[in-house]
Amino acid sequence: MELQIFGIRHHGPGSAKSLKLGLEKMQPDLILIEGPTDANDMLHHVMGEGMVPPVALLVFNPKETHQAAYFPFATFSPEWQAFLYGGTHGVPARFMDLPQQYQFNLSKEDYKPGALEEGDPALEPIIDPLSYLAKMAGYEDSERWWEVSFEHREEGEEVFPVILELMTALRENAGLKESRHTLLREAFMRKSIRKAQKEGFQKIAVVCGAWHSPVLDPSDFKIKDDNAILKGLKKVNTKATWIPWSFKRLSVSSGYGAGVISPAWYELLFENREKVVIHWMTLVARMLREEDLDASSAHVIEAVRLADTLATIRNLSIPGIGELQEAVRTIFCSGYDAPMKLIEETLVIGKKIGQVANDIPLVPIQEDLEKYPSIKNKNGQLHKTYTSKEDSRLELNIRVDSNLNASLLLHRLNILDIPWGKMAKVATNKKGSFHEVWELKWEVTFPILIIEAGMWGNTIVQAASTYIGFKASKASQLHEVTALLNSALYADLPACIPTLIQQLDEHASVTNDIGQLMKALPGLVRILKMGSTRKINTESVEKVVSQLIPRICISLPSACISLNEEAAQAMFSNIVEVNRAVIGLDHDPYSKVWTDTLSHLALMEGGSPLICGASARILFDKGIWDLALLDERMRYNLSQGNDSKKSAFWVEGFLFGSGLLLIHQPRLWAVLDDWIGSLKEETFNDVLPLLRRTFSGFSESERSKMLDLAKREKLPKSKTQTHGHFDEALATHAVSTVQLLLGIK
Amino acid sequence: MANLELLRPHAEDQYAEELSVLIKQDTRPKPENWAMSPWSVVTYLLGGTLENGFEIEPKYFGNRRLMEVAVATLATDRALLLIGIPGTAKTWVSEHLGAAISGTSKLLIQGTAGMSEDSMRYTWNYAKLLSEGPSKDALVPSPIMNGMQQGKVVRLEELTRIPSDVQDTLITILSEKLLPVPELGMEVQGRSGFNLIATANDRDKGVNELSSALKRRFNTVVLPLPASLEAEVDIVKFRVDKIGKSLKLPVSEPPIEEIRRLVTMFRELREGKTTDGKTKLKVPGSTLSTAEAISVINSGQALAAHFGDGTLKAHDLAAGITGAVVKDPNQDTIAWKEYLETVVKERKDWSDLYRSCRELI
Repeated sequence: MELQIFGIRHHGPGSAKSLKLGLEKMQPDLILIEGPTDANDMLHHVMGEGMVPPVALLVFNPKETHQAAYFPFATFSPEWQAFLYGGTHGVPARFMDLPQQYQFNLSKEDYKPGALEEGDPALEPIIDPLSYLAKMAGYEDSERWWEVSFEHREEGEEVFPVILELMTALRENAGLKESRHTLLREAFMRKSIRKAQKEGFQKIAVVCGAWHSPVLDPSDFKIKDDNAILKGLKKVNTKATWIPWSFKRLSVSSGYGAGVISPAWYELLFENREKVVIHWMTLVARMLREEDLDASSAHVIEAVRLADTLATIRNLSIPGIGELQEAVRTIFCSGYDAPMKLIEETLVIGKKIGQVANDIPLVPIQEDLEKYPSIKNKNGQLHKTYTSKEDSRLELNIRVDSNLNASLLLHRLNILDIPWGKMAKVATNKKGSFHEVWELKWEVTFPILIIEAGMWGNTIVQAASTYIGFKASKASQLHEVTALLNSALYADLPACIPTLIQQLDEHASVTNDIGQLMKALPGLVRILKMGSTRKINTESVEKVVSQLIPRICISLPSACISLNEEAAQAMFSNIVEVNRAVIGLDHDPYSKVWTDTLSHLALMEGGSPLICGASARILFDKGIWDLALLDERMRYNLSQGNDSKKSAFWVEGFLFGSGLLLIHQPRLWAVLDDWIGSLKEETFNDVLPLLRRTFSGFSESERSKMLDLAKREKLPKSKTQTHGHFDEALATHAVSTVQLLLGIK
Repeated sequence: MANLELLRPHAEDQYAEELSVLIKQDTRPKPENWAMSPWSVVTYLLGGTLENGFEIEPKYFGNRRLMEVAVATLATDRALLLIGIPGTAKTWVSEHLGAAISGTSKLLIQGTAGMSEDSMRYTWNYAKLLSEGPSKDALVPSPIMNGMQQGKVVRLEELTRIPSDVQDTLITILSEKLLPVPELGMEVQGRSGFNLIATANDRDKGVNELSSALKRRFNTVVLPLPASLEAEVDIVKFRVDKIGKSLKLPVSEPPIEEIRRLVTMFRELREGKTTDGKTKLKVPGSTLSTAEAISVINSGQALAAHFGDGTLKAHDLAAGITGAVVKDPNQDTIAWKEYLETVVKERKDWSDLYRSCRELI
């Protein structure tokens, strides 16, 4: 009976290549691979049609969706090569590791390394043995050390005995106590091997992470001890399925600890080891050329030479991705980093996305998604654009049920950070809150994101509700919570509203930042207004609003004193927003306390002139100030005694949004005119930019009217119509409509 | 006169011992006509302990990989272009590279706007030229021609200040390693070991961009400002100690706290925000590099030594700091005043510095 243990590095292209050679030489009749046995049923799909790596095995608990484990594989993953060897040679290949059924039940404690006993030989515990070895060899990062020591070399299968010896020595001498999790897994793997031996297999190849390789030979351990370790484990039900994966996700997290730094490079390295450096550099040159950057073949030659020399200086047999990137930066990018991002994205990490066969079962959240009528039905609003590459635009009237369904789905996916649709601004002529316009753009990564969202729940609604609650608990600012609450309402997730309101209330009562409070109000008011269209109970929101407005009004005046220009601008736009919100609420007590505050601001000495002017304008618009009072205040603020810059700011605040007021109120025009006339040349030059900024915000026609006014030497006496260009025939069309509107006819 | 010490000896003289020990223990393969192997050059630049226990002092503080790229470039006989804002040790690195690779840093051309092609190629000894006519004796070779003949590294300072048409003289020299002398019907061919290290500043105004043909002949390495506050403080401290010794300033070591404050100020003004990231600042036009921090500390020490009690204090630094920050009296003064009022004034232990600086503006 032969047993050969292949200690590999997960996602190591060198390991994959050596393993392939090793298996071909050994010709095993069974391959056992490190991976949970409850996923074994899915392994036959590897050879199935339509499987394109990178793909991942997902093992999950259908009842507790946050219990999920991902096992991604790329072509250069040794495990994947083991599957392929099994498939092509008709040799059974299966997993041997502790099932996730048990692993999901382990506690955090089980993952901690064991405590050292007193008198242990090791002076200090080595937390990560591989990086310990790497440091001894003079490398900062253990991945790189491994790559240099084992993967870049040309030796094939001879490398495995060396690794085994090294790991044996390390595990004996490192003085490390494994976590219970590791011990359980290793005991189970030995158990699996024993079982296979009993089944009668004669030549078993065991493929596992190098660290486990010294302890997997079952003849070194007693059956009784292993059984004792594994006793008393609790079990949950699990399901397994294949899902597509991407290089980008592989680079973030590979399922076995840290991510793979450079999947695209690894793939190239695995496929074409001999010419990999030249190949990669040529790809860089071609890509840079597409971006209109200088990149000739001479550049490629020099870059390859530099990378090779760098590798020699660093004692490497071939350059690694670090040397390549440094050579590219020096030769192609003139030493700068900017174009490197592009290279990193496509040639280091890579944009590859895998595919799984059609007959592979969907995960629950995918099923739920495809059940949405707007996707499922042939005439559903999202049916055609689902998984389509083309961008499109969708207009929805959410009073229609089928439209509402699509809208809710898009909102919910947005909450789950899957931005399929972006809501565009609705043209004002459409009926406001019933109308939504979406820009749709499906990304190839979305299926992965949807599957991942499955950890928050089995349905889209469940996942979105849980996730939004999670986001709210992480929010540090009041307006973030408001935004979340807002999106929860749009997405119709009533289950999470109480939690969000509570969060909101907590943030609102502790924050001292009036800017935050003011930013929160418009969102809440929108929720109140929407509540009526979407039939949502908004009582709790009302309660928060009823506290928020008085709090804003109390602290606002003191917050408007001695602001610098930037802060005044921010406060100014807050005031405009709050004003709009209060108008929207249409509730007298609120309006009263708000206008009182504004009156205070408008008359306050030492307040920011911008805000003072804006308050005056709002009060006049509301009809609380009459023209006489406004005229008086304007003269006061624009009188000679003031700093002319302050006056200019007052004008800016006063005229925000529209200059029509000046056109229609000759008295105010005169005051402004007098003031500008009275400015000295120097001061005029000072305030000119401010005035220009104010006036440039007005519409073309407003400005031309003002120009007319300014050109006339005297003030316009009355609104006399000039008849020069009057076209009566054209006017008759309009007249009839106007009559209809006014009810004259 | 001869007994007077040099103000600043060449790198190869100042570090002669280090260089000779490195050459002696060097067992690795050397590129042809190099004094030592690329590994030893990197060690010489970054410092370290040799197998025989000999300490090599670090010359460059910063990313090891950058220096490896620079040395590898020279080893592939490509010309090296070091780019960075003033004070990022470009010249310093090129001097030491020359000393370590060729044993000399003296083959140097200083690039200026008024430079002619002659200073890159060769000129004539006109007296001889007139009396004897064109001959090899009458030829005065440029450092580049010398470097080509002797197979040594030549340094070219401020490449981008040289007019573009003069810059392009380098193209044939770098690609064909050839310098023709048509007057004598001869040519000089570069011998192995010959190479060029150029430096250029990317913040200057009115410089001449390299033509793309010339750019392609250079491998470019950008030398950055120190990444962290700690690193920068260490650099300043190390260099100040060194310079203090060679200038024989009769003072005690500068207090590390003063250095830290100064470096913090420079970094904050350079980056336009305070270290805690809470306050946005106006950025003055001055470069405020590490090298400037070093010279501010130095002049402060001189002040303290000659007019103070020998210990570096805030008011010894104030003048130097103000001078370094305020280069443009209009814009920079505003930025500097704002920084003093909003940041320096608020910091608890900085009141002495605030007062001293405030007095000066």
